[in-house]
Amino acid sequence: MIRHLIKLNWNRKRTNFLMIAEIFFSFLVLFGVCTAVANFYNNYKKPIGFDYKNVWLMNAYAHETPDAEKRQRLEQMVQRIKALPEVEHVALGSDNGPYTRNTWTTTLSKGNIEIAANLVYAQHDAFKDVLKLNMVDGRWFEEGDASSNQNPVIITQDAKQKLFGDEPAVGKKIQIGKSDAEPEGTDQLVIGVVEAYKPGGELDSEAASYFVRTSLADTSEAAHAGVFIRVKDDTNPSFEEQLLKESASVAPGWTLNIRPLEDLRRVYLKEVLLPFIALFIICGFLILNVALGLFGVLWQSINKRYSEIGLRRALGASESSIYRQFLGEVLVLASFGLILGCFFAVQFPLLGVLDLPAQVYTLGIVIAVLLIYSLVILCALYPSRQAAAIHPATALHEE
Amino acid sequence: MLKNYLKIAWKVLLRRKFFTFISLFGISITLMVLMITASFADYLLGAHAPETESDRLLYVSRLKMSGEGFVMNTSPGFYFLDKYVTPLKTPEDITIFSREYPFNVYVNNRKIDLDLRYTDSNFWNVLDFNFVEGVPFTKANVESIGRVVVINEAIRDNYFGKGTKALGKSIVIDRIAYEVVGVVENIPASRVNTYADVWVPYTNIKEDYREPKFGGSFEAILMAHSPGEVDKVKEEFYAAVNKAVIPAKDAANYDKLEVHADSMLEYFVRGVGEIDGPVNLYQFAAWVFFGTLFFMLLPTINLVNINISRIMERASEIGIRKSFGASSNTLVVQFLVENLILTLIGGLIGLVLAQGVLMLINNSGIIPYTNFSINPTVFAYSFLLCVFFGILSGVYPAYKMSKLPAVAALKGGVR
Repeated sequence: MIRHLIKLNWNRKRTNFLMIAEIFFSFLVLFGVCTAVANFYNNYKKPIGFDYKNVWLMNAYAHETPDAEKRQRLEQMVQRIKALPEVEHVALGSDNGPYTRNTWTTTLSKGNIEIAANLVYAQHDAFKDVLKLNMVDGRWFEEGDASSNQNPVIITQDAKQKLFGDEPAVGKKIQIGKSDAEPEGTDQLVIGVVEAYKPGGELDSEAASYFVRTSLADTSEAAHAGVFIRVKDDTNPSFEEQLLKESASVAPGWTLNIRPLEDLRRVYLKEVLLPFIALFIICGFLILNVALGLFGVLWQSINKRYSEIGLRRALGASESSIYRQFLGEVLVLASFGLILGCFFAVQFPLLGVLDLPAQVYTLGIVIAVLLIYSLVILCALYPSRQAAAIHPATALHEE
Repeated sequence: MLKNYLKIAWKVLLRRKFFTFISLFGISITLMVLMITASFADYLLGAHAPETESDRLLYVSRLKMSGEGFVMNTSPGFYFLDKYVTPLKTPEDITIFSREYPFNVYVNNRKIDLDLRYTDSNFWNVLDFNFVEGVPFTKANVESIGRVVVINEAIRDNYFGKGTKALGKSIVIDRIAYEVVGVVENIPASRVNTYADVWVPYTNIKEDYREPKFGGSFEAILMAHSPGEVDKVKEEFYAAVNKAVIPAKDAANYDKLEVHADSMLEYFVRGVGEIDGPVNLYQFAAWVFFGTLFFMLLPTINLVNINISRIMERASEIGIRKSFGASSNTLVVQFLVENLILTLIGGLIGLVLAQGVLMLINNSGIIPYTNFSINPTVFAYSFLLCVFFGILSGVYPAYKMSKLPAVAALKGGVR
């Protein structure tokens, strides 16, 4: 049956060429969209690692304040903020906080394995409580870690998996900043592993990060002026102004900006999703367009084969076998286009065109194939039924 | 003759309404998307306030320095612009201003986020802002570190209340009270170089902007006397920049300087394509052309498919015309005209749809301060696109039909 259908279609390949081309291009468009959706979903599934609710990020720009004075004032500012009743936790850290689209990429290595990882400085131990980081192994920083000559670091589960595989990482050494000038890099001691930390946001894939503890007292390290604040639930937004006033009172002349992570997240989601939604709608219209066209052409071509159907019916073919024949023909036609399309789509994971995991592409291809088949079946249902309903007597009479 | 074609075309359209609907749907949606894209592009890169004379403007907005193992990509610093760009002779006018700085401003327990630019007084001469109230600040204001500010309507409505006059009132930004001297119409964020909510004299900036280093947070716009003189300005700019001596602070890490004076389009292409050297606009045009073509491919194939079905339906008509002596060319022209009419009707519907969608986007406030519209330029391009689309999708079916042997066509064979 199938061989027969293939032969039928093959014999009409010139007439069917345009339909195959149409299905081929529709598949490519759907493949693109489905891969993007699969990629977003794949990223979204992975834990983000922190809690953005009730976290405010204050950036302090010290301008021309001398370094020693800057450190002193930052410490005073943190103490002042900590004393406020609305504040749960406060910590200083590097200003590449979540959703700021500011990442510091460095190279982490262990032996021959090298990975790119985002570096985050925590200047107070409360950093973990502000962002509600989730430890899965080892411990978070403690007093004395900043000055330890062991260079303690905390890495994300993701980085651990890439560097150590399934072995435990706590207590082992890794290297930072391997380069031609420094073939050894500097040794770091892993003291803990956090579940995840995706500074780009939930739809971002880049997850490998690591944390380093510095201290305001240690002048050999830069003083980081990102103030991470966790406020209590239901804090009035007008508290922002008070917070700003309190902070400014210890640091006159500085520029201070407060941005709740929830606001930053909203902007981030808008910027990531808006172009995507626009693309999604456009592709939707393209496909709808194709579906309508396919429907029209199928209808037309079945009308053209009126006498053939009449003959088959007269020779004893049942209604349902005519019905099946036309559906089958359309499915075979679609398969021609899909085989061609899959051949091109498979090149993406094989050649590694974009840096996406293979399963994302597989999912994209599978969904696109299913969508095309269901679309084609939907378009063929009505014309096939029409064909099946042809009365043999009328058809033969007209002939 | 043409009148007959039109008559026939109209009758054919009405005969199979479902097919006509499919064709029109495809054409109008495709053209709608293209028109919306065109109006976005025009909005982003066309000559609109404040950059109404964008064909005379050159932007110096990015600066790249590289050395052994170090690369810095940043805005130029004030020191660099003041030393190498301000002395240029060929431009009619030059303005130096900062990138936008975000600030939180509070009023009545409400927070307002605003973007602020530090500018010189030339800013208001080079650029064409529409003042609703007051005037720009002056050179004297800049030199005396005047605490004066020009704000946009949105901030006026938000900070002082809707519809109130703001002139002479003061607004507190970063704990400094500025007196409002002017209110301008909102500038959309798509004007990446000039957009802001408030503008103050650059002398108010808290950084040490005169520090001798090349990187920083400023940019410059050069205005040529006429569009024809833009190349001369560029020449003088590059000659000056090539002589630039990297100051001691930067020379430790960097030995190579790269900075460009680009037109708006060149700046955009440089940003999108991450191009270092001169921008090749022809290459960009080719990209746009092939991108459009690729997008139109699917609807075109679809339309060709439907057109073939429709034309084959009229086999007997073709057979009769052929046997009465119509040449292939005559038939091709006839069907092309029919298809063009169909496309133009579709284009018209697409235009109406595009206008509707743009109004929807404007009203939704997704992109702040926007006012997308279809202007004559966009309309003209859309019309050209319609014709192109019509010919593209009509040629193959018409050709195939005209090649039909008269005998076979006459026999009909097809219902």
